[in-house]
Amino acid sequence: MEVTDQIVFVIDDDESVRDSIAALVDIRGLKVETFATGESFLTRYSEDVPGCVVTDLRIEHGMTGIELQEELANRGFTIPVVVISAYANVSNAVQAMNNGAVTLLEKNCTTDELWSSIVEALQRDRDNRQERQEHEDLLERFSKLKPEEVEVMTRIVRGTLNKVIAHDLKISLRTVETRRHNILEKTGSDSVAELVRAYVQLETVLGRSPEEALASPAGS
Amino acid sequence: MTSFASDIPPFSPVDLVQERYEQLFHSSPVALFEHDWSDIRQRLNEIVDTGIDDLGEWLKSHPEELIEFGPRMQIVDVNQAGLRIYGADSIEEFRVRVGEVFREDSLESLRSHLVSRFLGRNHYETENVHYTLNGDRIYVHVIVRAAVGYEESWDRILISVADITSRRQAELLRDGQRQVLEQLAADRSLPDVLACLTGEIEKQSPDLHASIYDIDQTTFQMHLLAAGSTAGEISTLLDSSPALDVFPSSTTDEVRLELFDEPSAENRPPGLIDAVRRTARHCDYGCGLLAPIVTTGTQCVGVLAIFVRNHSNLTQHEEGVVADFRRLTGLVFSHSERRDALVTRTSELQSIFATYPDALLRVAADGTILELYSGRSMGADLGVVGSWTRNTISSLVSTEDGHRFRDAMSRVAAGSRLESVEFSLYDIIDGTQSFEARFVPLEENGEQIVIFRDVTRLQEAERELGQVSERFRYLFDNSPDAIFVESPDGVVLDANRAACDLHQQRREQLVGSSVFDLIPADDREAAAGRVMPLMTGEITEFESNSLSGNGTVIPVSVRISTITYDGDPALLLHVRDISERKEEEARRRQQELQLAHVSRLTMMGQIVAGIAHEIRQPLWSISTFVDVCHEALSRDDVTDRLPRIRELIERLVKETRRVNTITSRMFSFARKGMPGRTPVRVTDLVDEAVGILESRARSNRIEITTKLPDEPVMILCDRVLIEQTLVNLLNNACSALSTEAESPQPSTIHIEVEQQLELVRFRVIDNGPGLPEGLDPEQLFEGFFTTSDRGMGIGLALCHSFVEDHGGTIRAEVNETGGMTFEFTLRIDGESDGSH
Repeated sequence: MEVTDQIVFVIDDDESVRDSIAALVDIRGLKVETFATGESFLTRYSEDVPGCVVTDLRIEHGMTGIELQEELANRGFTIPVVVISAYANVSNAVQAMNNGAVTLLEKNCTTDELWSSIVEALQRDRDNRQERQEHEDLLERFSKLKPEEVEVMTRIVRGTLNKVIAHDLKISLRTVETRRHNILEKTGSDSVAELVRAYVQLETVLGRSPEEALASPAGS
Repeated sequence: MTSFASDIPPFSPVDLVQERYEQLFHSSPVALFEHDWSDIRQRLNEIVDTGIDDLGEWLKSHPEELIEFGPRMQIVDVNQAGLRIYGADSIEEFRVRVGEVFREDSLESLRSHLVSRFLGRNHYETENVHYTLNGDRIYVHVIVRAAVGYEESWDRILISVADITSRRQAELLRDGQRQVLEQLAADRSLPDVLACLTGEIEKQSPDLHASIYDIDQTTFQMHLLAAGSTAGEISTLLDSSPALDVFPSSTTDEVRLELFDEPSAENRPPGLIDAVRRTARHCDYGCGLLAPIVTTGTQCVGVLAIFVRNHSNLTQHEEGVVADFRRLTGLVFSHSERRDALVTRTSELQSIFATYPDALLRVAADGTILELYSGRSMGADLGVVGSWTRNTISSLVSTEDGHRFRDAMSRVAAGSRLESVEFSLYDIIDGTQSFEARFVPLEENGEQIVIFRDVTRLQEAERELGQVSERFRYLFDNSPDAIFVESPDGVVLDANRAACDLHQQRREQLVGSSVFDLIPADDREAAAGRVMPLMTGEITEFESNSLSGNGTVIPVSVRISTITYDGDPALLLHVRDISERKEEEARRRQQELQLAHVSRLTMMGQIVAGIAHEIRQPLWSISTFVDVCHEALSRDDVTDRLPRIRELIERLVKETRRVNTITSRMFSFARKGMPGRTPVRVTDLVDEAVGILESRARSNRIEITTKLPDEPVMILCDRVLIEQTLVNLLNNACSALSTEAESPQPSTIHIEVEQQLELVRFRVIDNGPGLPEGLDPEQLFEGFFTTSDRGMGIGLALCHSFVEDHGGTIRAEVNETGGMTFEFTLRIDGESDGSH
C-alpha cells in the first residue's frame, strides 16, 4: 500500500478552514476531499478507504467531531481522526482522545503541527492496516491446520509434553512429533516459542481461543 | 325726609288713592311684604314673662324656637316682586311655606332683628341670607318697619327685600381674589397662579365691574332701570305718560307734590319737567328718582324722574326690570285713591322710596338750595334736611373743593351744556364720605339741577381695585419669570422687568416691538405657526428659544393664557429661562451616554468569546494559506503552480476582509458614538445588531431569525443607542438561552419588525427559560437589576431610557414558549412626544 493511495478527508463548516487545509494537503502531494458536515462525509465514506479524517469539533448544522468518531467506530471503520477546534475545552478534549483521536488541535496551531498530525494519522492508518494484514495472515496460517493438528497445537502451546499428548490423544508419540512438525511448518513458526507467541497474538486478535474459532470458522 | 309724610293734608277721594297704591304695591320692582307679626310678638311676650332677662341670649341658645318664628309670620300681602324673589307661585303658597325662607344661617340676623324690635326699634335694616322655596340660597337686603300705629302690636309689618346675591357673589369673588393675591404676594414664585388669576379676573370682568358699581342695591337697580333706555326714550316716555304733568310745588321745607288730573300747562310749576328732561338728556350716568306722592286738595300724585346712562347689552332679566318700572310710571299717575289708606301706604312707600339714595336738588344761580326732591340717605348723611334750603350748595362742599364746585356751577350757568361734568369727589362730612355732584342747567335765570350721589363705597371699591391693580403691577414687575403681554399679531404690549433682563432691553424698546425679533431666526417659523393654536387655547405650554440682547440663544419654557388687554384679545406669556434645566438635561444625557458606553463594553465582554472564534477561523486559515503559498513558491515547478498561487492569494484577501469586517463591527459598536438623530433604515439596524451577536449566537448554537418589513422603513433616531438597545436585547436572549441546560428544543431568537402608522414595533422573542417565578417583567427595567452574575444590570434600564428618549415604550413579557418577548416601539419622526 502506497502513501499516495491514502486520502485526507477534511470536514469543517468553515469554508476557509476547509480549503486552507485542503491546500496544504494538496501542496504536499496527497489526495484530499472536503466536506462541510460529518453527515455528507459519511455518505461518501461507505468503504474502508485508507487515509485519515481531519474534522472540526463543532460543526454548524451537523454532528460534532466526537459524534462522527463514534459513528465511524460503530461502522467498524478504523480510519484515524484528527480533531481540530477553535475553542476546545477539557471535557470534549478528553472525550475526543478516549474515542481514539490521533490528536486534538486548536485552531491556532502552526501549519507544521497540523501537518505532522495529519502525517501521524496517516501513519497510524498504515500501521493499522499493516497490523490487520498480519493478523489476517496469521489466521490464515492457523486455518491450514487440520483438526487433529489443532488438538495437538492447543496442547503444545499449553506446554504439554509430547508423550502426555500421545497418551491423552491415544496416538503414538511419533504421530505427535509428525504433527508438531507440520504445525510449526504450517504456522510458519521456527520454534514452539514462536508458535506460542503467534497463538497468543491470534487469541488477542480474535478475542477467544483460536481452537474455538478454528472449530467454527463461521464465527467472526 | 323722615318727616316726609307727617304733614299730609287731607285729601279725597281716598278710594281712588287706595286702588292706585294697591297697584303700585303689587307692581313695584322692589319686593314688598305686609306681615302680621302679632303672633310673634305674643310669643316673645310669653318668653319674657317666664322670667327671661336677656331675650337675645335666650334665643341664641334656643335656635329651635327661633326657627319657629318663620312659620309664625302671617302674610297679609306680598307683591309680585316678592313672590318672584322667593320663587313662589302664589301668595297662598308663600303663606304656607314662608318658614322655608329661614335656615340656620338666616337665624342670627332674624334674632337680632326681633330683639331690637322687641326693645322698641321700629326701623330695621340688614343684609341676610334667605332661601327661596326652591332651596336656592340668596343674599337679601331687608328693610323692616312697622306701619304707623302698629309699632307696639306688630300687626302691620312692612318689609322690603332686595336680592343682592349677585353683588354678594361679586364681593365674595373679589375677596377670593384678594386672598389669592395675598397668597401670591407671600409667595411670589407662583407666577402661574398669577397668570391664572389675571385670566380669571378678565374673564369675570363684567361681574367684577358690576360689583364695583353695585355699591348699593338700590343704586344698582336704578342703573338697571335706566340702563335700558336712551335719553330719547326716556323723553318719549315722559311725554307720552298721561300723568306726566306732575311736579312738586313747595315753598316750605317739606316736599309737596301735586297731581293734576287734567294736566295743564298753566298749573304746572315751571321748570321741573324741563329739568327732568334735561337731566335725562345730559346725565351720562344713571340715577333714578322716584319721588313719593303728596296731595293737593282732592288729588294725589306720583312723580318719577329717570336719569339715564347709556348701557348696551341688557340681560333679559334687566330688560324685565326696566319694563316693570315703565309700567309703574304709568300706573303711578293714572288714578286717585282713598285718603285714609294713603297714610299707611305712604309711609310704606316712603320706606321703599327712601331707599333711593341720590339727591336731586334745585339750586338757584347764587347757589341757594331751592328744593330737595329726593335723597333719603343724603338727607340722613348730611343731617341737614330741614335746613338745606337755607344753605347755599357750596357750603356743603369742603373748602378745598369749593372753588372747583363753584367753577363748574358758573360754567353751567354761563350756558355750558355740561353733559358729563366730571367732578371730583367732595368730602362733605369730615372726609369719610365722598359725593359726586353733577350739574344740569335748568332755567334762563341760572337755576340748576344738582345731583348728589354717595360714592363712598364706589370710591372704596375703586381704591381697592386700584390696590389690586397695583399689586398686580408689583407682582408682574417682580416676577422671576419674564412676562409678556402680546397681541395676536405678535406685538409686545407689555413686558416686566425679568423680560427686559432676558432680552437685555429697556421696557420702552420691548413694548411695541415684534416678538419675532425676540426669538432666534430658526424658531420663527414654528412661532408663527403657533399663534392660532395659542389664541384658541389649544396650546398652553411649549418650549422654545429666546434671543438675548447679545445674540445668545436661551432655551425657555413658555406658558400662555389668553386675556383681554385693553378690551382686545391678547396673550399673556410667562417665559422661563430653562438654560440650567437644559444643561442639566445635557449633563444627564452625557452621563447616560458614558454609562451606555460602559454598558457596551460590558456586553462586549460577553460577546467577545464568540468573536474570538469568529476571528480565529479566518486568521488560522490565512496563516495556513500563507504557508502553502510560501511552500508553492519555493518549489521547482513554481511556474506551473502560479495559477494556484494566485487563487490562494485571492482567498487570503477574502479572509483578511472577513476578519476586518468583524473587527470593524466590534470596534464601531464599542466606540463612543456621536449623539444625534439621523435617518436610519430599520433593516440596517437589525442587520448590524444581528451581525454583532451572530457569532455569540452561533457559538451557543442559537438560531437567529428575522422578519422585517417588505417596504424599506426609515426612522429618525440615534443610531448608536437604538442599535445598542437591539444588541442588548439580543445579548440578553443569548445569555438566557446559554444558561439553559440541555434542551430538546433548538434555541432560537426571532426578531420581528413592523410598522404601524407613526410607530415602528421591534420584537425580540426567545424560547429560553423566561423569568424566575413571581418576577414582574417591569422590574427588569430598573437599574442594577440582574438575574445573572455577569453584567451590571444596567443594560435594560438603559434600553428603557433610550427608547423613552425616542418617544417610544418598551416592555417585556413571558411568551407562550416560556421564553421572553421584549417589545419596543419608536416613533418614525423620533420626537419624544407630541409637542411641537
